[in-house]
Amino acid sequence: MRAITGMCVFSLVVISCVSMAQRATESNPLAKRLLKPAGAIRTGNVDNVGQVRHLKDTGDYLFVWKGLDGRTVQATYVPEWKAQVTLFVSVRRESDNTWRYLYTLRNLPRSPLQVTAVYMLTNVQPLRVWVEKGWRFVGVVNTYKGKAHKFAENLLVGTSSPLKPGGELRFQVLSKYPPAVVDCYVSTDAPIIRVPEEMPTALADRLPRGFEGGLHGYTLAPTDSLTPERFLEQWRVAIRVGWVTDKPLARQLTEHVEEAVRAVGRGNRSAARDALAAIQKLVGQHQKHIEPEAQALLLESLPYIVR
Amino acid sequence: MTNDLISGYPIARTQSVQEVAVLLHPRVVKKGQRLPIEAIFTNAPTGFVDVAFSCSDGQFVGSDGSPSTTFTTSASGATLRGFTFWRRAEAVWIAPDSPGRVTLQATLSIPNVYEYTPKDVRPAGAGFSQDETRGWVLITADNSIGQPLSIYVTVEPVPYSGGHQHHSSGRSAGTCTPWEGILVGAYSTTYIAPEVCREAKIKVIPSASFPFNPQPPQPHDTAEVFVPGLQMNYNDISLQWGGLFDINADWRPPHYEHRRGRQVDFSNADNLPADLQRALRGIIGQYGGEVRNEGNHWHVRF
Repeated sequence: MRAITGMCVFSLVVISCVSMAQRATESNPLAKRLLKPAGAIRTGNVDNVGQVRHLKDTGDYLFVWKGLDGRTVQATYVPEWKAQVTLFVSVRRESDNTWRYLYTLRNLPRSPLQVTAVYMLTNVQPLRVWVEKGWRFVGVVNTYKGKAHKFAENLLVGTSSPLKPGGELRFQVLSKYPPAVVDCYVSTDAPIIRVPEEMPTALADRLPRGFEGGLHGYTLAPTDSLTPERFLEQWRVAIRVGWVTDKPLARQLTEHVEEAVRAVGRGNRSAARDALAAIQKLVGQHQKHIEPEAQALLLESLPYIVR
Repeated sequence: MTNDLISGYPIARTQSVQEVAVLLHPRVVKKGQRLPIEAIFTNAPTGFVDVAFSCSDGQFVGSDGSPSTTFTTSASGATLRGFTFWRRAEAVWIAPDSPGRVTLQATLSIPNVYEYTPKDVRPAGAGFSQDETRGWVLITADNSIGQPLSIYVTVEPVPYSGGHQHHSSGRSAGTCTPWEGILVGAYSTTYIAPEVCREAKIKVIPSASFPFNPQPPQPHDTAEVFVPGLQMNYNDISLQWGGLFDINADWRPPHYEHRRGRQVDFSNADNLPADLQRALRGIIGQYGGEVRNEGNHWHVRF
């Protein structure tokens, strides 16, 4: 098998087919799928050296402190998380027993910022990657949170550009590993805070670092370390973030998932397969209440464990 | 023929020596006369301390009876007067044959010069734990008779230490808690580092105080890194030993940070094309950093 980690431009034919399939499964209102701020900024006085105020009209933060010459100085922090971004993923099983991950990243029209990069925490090298023009798959990169798939604007070509408000970016990952729930982080082009002089440390500590300044959410990515226990944890995350929109259905599915995981733990493959069959039946009956991410977990990851 | 006057003088002061007046009776002596002299030391340590007598003319009677221009003996007594100990030493001096004014001196050598340099103590205010910014100093004495020794602890910074390339009396040396006490065999005190720190000398002496010193950024904290096609300059990561990085050599900010290698300035980042700025910022964020634009450079902290 061939591992391609570079940027590939995929054909319009492929993208249009994928696009139709993806859109058909995006039933949730966009507002529910927005990625959330990864961090938070505490406001108020800071150790008698200054204060942080939240500017409600703009969503920005004002940092105020006494400068070296005794005069009051201030700086405005524009959080990256002001962007309004959604990330959808669906997973398709290919005939050669690989999985194709179909991602759609959207920067909503009312978003005030452009998207510059997406990180999905996984250490699996993809077999192949397709990315729309202007962006590239940087690779499986090191981050302070662990290894991650990084997609970013492609600086190596002249057409690079961040994802503008109203823009949509699609990319695909082909892997021999099944999907798992992973953290994803999105960076934007919020202006860097400009300060007239170095900010006192206590005040600077209020500024978010790393991915904490951007958006955070969950998505699916290939994993090579799926175990029944981990799957159960991930399923609970999926329920928590609303990938099953009907609560009684979510409870019912969770019971079956727990049953399947317990059966696998006991080595009772037969009972596990029964639980899996019950889940598949429920998914078939209630597709509109089950987001593509949750469907992928139930129909691709869970069978992988049971097998 | 007699010498007109021989008088005792306060003596040399060195790191391990205490001043003393040599008492001589009578003050007018005959040539070749043998005279007992004594030196009284105030605020002297107890235990075995050496006293060295010397003279500008004449000789001393050595312990074996032979004449010598110097004579060394041990101090005796340890009379507590108020809060200080008084010690006494005796010698026999033989007046010279030629007339003139003669100076007699006696110096007391403290058994040990109790110098301790705490190792690996980190500067205060740089995010290190309290334990890391403190050094435990154990003081021991070779006064084997185990009598109490009143001591003072002084701290002085090591000039140009910690990456500071300047030096002045304004440099803080840190403190010790407690500063003084009575040493009986062993004594401990805690060294507390200041914001500007690399190393400090701790001296334990019966009296006196010692001066101090300071320093600046060294060339090795400047290096180069590359982003695609462009040269990036970064600097001011930290002084060698951390602590306040006073780039203006005045023991003060503007650098509130840069104290332990977790912050760095990118001096030409603001001149990069916009897409490279975004990429650089992304890489910084990827590794858990945060960026501020301080006008002519980026301040990056991890």
